[in-house]
Amino acid sequence: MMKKVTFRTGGTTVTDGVALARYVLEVMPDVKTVVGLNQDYAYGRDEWADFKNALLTMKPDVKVLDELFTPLFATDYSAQISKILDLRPDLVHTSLWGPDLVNFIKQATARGLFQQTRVAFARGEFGLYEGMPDDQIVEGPHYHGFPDPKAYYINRDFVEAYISRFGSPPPYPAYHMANAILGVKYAFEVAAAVENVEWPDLSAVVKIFERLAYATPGDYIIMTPNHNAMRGLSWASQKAVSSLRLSTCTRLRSTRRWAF
Amino acid sequence: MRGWLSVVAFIGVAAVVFAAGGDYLKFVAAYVMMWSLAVWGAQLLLRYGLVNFGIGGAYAVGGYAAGLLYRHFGIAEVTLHILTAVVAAGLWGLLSGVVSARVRGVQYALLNLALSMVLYSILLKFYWATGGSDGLYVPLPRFFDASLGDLGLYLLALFFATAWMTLGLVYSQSAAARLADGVRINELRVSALGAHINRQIAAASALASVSAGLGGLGVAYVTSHVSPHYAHWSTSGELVVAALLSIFLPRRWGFVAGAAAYQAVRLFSLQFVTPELFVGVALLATLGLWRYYRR
Amino acid sequence: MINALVAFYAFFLNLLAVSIGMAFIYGVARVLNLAHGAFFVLGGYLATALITRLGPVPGALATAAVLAALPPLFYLYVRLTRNELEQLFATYALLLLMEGLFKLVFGYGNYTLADLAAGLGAASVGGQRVPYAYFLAGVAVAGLMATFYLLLYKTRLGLYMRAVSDDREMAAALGVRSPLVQHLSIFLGIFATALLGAVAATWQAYTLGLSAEVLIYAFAALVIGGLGNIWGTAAASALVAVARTAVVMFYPELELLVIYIAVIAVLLIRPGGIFTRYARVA
Repeated sequence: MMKKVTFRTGGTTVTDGVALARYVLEVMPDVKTVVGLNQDYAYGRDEWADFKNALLTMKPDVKVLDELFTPLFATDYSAQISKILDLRPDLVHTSLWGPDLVNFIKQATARGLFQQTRVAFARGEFGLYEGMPDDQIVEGPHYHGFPDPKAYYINRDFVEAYISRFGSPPPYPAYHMANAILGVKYAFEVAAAVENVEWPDLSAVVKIFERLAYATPGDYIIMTPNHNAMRGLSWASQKAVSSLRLSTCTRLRSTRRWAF
Repeated sequence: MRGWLSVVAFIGVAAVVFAAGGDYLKFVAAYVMMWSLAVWGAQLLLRYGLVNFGIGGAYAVGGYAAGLLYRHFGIAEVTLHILTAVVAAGLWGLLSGVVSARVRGVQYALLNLALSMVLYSILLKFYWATGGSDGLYVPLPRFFDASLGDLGLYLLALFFATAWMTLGLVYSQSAAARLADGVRINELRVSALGAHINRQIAAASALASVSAGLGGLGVAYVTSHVSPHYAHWSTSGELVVAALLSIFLPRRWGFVAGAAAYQAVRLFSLQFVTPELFVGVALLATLGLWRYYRR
Repeated sequence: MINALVAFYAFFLNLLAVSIGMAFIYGVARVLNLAHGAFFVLGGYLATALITRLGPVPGALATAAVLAALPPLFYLYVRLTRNELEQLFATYALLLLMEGLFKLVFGYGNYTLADLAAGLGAASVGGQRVPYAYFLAGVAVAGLMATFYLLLYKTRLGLYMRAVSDDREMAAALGVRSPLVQHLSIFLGIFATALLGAVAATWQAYTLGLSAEVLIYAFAALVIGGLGNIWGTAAASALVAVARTAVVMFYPELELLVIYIAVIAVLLIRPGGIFTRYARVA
């Protein structure tokens, strides 16, 4: 019963890993050494494994110098930063998120890590609001500047409503929630229209949801019969216009790839 | 209430809940009954005056017995699961009991905490065998080729809870219980009277771990999932708090009532923005009530 | 090598900051405070909120003022409990209460003074960049340890505290007002903890759920060093910091486990703690 009504409107770590690997090779085609710094639980391990496999498949001569795993919600990254400073890799991959991301960025900035190596953040969009240093590779499942609100009215309405209510632009969880809620809404509406009733039966809704394609503030989502979604991500190199903490990146270059 | 009467009354209450309650209430009742076994284990050790923050280790061992048996061998037979859980949790309890019986108080709590966190880390790290932090799927158990449906699972929970109430009744009349009280009150005197305290503690630890293991197994059945979080110290903390709640009540059925009270408070608190605040206040209120009635 | 030393130094400060207050309170007053982490975090939250709003100096003073008002409340709270189990229960409830209050008052965000600290600049030690904020934090913690030393070994109150820590009843028999001394030590311990939490805000981000993490580290350092022995706790913090830095440098997979393995090893070999003379195990 549970499986029948469970739908995933978000992406998986595979899309994160493959997309990030392709972008890394696009901006750093001569990357030779890589170090992984991820949290020691399923999400961290999956992100690292997917990124590493994708990178090594596309460029087999890249050397993985070390794979560091930290406990979830560890507060002190000094030892890991020290090790990375000693190893001097070309690239660091990290899927740290939330408070861990903030702690890492602050501590690494203080130690001068970002002057020495480039870091690819697989969930770095939140870091853009917390002092992400220049020239790092940031991947977020969503970014409020893409699709450009000036060109895409759904995103414009969403961002404006969010800012007027909460004072800052929507982070990626807001977009995730929007994707999910809109998916459910459209599934029910379409099923009601198809069945010509006011409130459709659950099995009809499930059948519709399995083949739904809909536009959301950040994305265009195509649901597939195995209840997963086909959708895109955003990533870019961080180039801040000024040194303001809040990201006012107008010259952010975003590219999208379909990956499933 | 006299011992056997309380058991019968409990069965009656459980039957009423099953007949009249909706799906959610039945789920919560089954969860509480299974979880109360682990609370019984924590309470047993509290009787010795030992606060065990590592009982989650045994709790996890029980749950993972079912999960691993199903994942690697495809076994969903409930008797095999129970047997494995009992043996594995018993061994865990015996070993950790022998190791931690040398110390008391804070050191005992912390040693067990560290042991259970080592198990947590192992379960987390060897993710190719144990499923890592994603955890393992635990199927609805089968009893000789017949799948236990909702009713079967509820009856299993009821069976466990009443069996443990009976065990509690038998235990409280036994010499081991007297010894436990003695160890809590004055250890030196009891050992002067000829008891081997460390052995007693190791044995009690094994029994408590078997209890917690079966509790973990039961909760894994009810929720169809087991994860390393079972071994985390916060899970042990919840068990200890529920056991402390039950200390305020008669020992025979206190563990079920304490478990039910804690879970009820926790589930009720989830509707608020700050569930922790609500649970904290509820715990303090309980303490206040108990002090008022015992003054 | 310098990098490893910096890592060790940072983690050592971290552990010291979280465990000193607890060691002091447990040593003299025998109160096991499960809400210890919450006080540490409270210091950090308050410092960040007040300093970002009022500026560095007024903010720091305001923080100190608020923190000085806290300990009596905690003391009154603990006074209500009669035995260790009730203490456990009550301080656990307090931990939950405080976490809930943090959520209500401070919200879900990350509170940190690291940006302010980064503004102080950095020194170049042996080719590596070490922020001045780390040195300042070291000075602050060292100053606190020095204050403790002066208090414990050069004042009469400190003498009484050491006596009560050894044998409370004997001290009372000799004329020391044991309950008062214990209450004062609770005040001081809580104040020191919260203050250290404020100092730690310069390298750490405070958010929900941190209290419990901090508690475990404090516990571990406390038990390894010997319960209630401040210098033992300091040495234990150094030991654990060395172990953890070494593990990350040479065998990083063990990092999740290292602190628990250290605790188990010490409790098996020397349950009284590494640095106690008269082990109090039971």
